[in-house]
Amino acid sequence: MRENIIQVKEVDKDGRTHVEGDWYSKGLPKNIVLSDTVYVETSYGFSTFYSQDEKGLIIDQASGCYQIVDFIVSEKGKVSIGKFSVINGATIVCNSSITIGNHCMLAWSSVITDTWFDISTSPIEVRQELLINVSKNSLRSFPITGKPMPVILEDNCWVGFGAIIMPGVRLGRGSVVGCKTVILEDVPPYAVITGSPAKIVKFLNPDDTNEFKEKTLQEYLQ
Amino acid sequence: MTEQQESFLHLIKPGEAIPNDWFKGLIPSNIKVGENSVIDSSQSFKTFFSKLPIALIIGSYVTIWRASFATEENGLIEIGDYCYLAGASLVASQKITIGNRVLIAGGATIIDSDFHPIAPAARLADTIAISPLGNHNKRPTVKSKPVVIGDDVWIGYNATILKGVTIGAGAIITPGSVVTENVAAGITVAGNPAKPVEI
Repeated sequence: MRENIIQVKEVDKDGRTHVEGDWYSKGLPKNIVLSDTVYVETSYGFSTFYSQDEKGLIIDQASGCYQIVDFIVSEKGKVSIGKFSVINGATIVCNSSITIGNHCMLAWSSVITDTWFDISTSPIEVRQELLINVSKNSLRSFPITGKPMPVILEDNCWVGFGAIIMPGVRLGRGSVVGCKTVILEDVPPYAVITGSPAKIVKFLNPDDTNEFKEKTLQEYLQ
Repeated sequence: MTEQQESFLHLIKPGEAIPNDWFKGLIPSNIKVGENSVIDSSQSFKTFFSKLPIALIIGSYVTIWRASFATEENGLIEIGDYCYLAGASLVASQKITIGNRVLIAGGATIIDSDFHPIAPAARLADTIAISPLGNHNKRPTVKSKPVVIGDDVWIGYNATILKGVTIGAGAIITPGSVVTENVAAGITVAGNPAKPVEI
């Protein structure tokens, strides 16, 4: 066990959780469920976490949010992160649901979003009105534009730095998204997809079997 | 409004600190701001080095959070009214002009220079000038050319707008685009390098 990243977590009188070593004082919102072995480097990325769901964010065993992970989550948004996943300096924009599986890795500046606006039905007048309205609301929170479409990352996905996973996408198990690649459509399991516009460049050998996983867990977690 | 939804944004007041700012800095005094424009932290000005009497002009009803205004000694940034900048980086050694009602999403970068010289010798000299031991004022000249973003342009996550680019009114820069050439008004672009796409 990596003792140095097992954090003490304290809940204050307002129900906010303060993680050991956080340089930002606000703490995590109370509707977040963290397993005891989860690491969250800082609560700084939660100033835009407005989920009103009882469990707006769930992070399972041994996953970590390293550096600043921005959670831009509106009232109905719900994010879940599985076991042993590494979220490093990524941005998660969620107005419906974003599900990240086990053993996933998201690199810095990557963006996972379930919402973007519908260009074809957002003429300039609509966009003008929207920005003027946003600027006059006291929270300045951006309204949901376009229909949110849940995003799913199956187990063992690797998202390179600066890559963008767009609304409605499902990344297949074991797939790899190259750096700065923009994903607009589903990616099949074990595909490696790179470039802009994105192209599948190869398929990987699916050697991450459950048997292998069990064996490795036993070996590494002793 | 629930307590949880208290705004983390504050009015931008030139020369003043932001209440409860985690970053111990001030809003620079050589900026001009319209009414009701807000920001989250003075960290946005950590690398605001412009010495111009007015180096940043922000219109009214502008929302800025987690943005970075990096300016060299003579850099100037102008932002119109009703703009929304979330997590964007603006890097100006000459001039960046942003129109009204422009949306710039997280991770986007707008830069009016190459930031470093291209030629090997000049680049080597630059690493010395910008080092902890160096003299920042002796940096070699870097090519720059103003960037102009028209009214009602929307710029997606992680998009990059490079030097000399003019983006016409109402254009849409989709997430992840790298814009190296002018974009005509009303056009949507995507890719690296960014090309017009059908909607």
